[in-house]
Amino acid sequence: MMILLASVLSILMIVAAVWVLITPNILKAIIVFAIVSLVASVLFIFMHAPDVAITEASIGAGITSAIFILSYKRISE
Amino acid sequence: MKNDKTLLMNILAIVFLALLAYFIYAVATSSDVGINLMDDNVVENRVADRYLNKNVLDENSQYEWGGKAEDSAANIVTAVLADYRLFDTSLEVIVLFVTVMGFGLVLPDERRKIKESTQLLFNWLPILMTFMLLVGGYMFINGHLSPGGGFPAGAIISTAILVGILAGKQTVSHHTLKIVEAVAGISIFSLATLGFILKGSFFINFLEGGNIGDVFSAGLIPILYTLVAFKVSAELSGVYLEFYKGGEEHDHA
Repeated sequence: MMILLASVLSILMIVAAVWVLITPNILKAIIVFAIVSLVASVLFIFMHAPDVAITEASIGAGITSAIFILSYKRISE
Repeated sequence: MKNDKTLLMNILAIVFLALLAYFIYAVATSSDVGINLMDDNVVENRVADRYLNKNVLDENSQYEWGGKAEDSAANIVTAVLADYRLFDTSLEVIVLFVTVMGFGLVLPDERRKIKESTQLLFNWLPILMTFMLLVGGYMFINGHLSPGGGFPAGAIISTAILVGILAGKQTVSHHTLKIVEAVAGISIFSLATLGFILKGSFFINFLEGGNIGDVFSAGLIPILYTLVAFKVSAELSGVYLEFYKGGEEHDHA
């Protein structure tokens, strides 16, 4: 059951990563990039690495997206 | 060479690099303290092997409990990270500091005003910030007992300040952030130097270990994690404030 869930999450992660590359809308790309990080942190928990999962969720999904969105807003003005 | 100050800074940088190179060479070839990198080593002395046999619950564990501080951190990842690899975290913090200094140079100069957002977010802000600060504080105080640690804790605390900015309230000033960051950074490296003076190596854990599982255990680790959390949160909050017009004027470092 866990293997199945992990495979579904991995496929979701790969699809999201490809979407980040091909989408023309930068704002959408940033949001989907945050989804990639979130799925990665869930997979880290499956691999019994809670320390890495916490860091990935807070820095990869939270702060990186915030800084990307703020910079994108500033540069696109 | 522009003036005397540039020359002085260059000389200081070269002296610092030479000292660093000397210490790396000394660690690699020393034969009395720690593991010699240059020699062939027996398996029992390897760090990975010792930690694979470390077991908190089993009485018959192969790992011998000594009076050393590294035995008293219940979380193995923290024991490795904060006792053997604290150079890693401290240099990450320095990299973050340089990044924050570079932000002001790269970004265009017009800043946006912090404007009030919807009533909903504004009214819920104290509750949200309380929860985020609680999670961050728990994480660095319990860094040696449970997963977490100084770096993610600082990131979560800075996210609380980001939520404040998004809701239209600047909770800390740029000046306060700079003072917090400077005090935390100076304290980290003075504790490291104090370890060098007392026990003979940089960043050594020179306090008593205490009971495994207590909040006040693991020697120096909780103190250093608290300092790292404050420094990281101040630096990351400085990045967010870089995008907005603050109350006071801003000077590029």
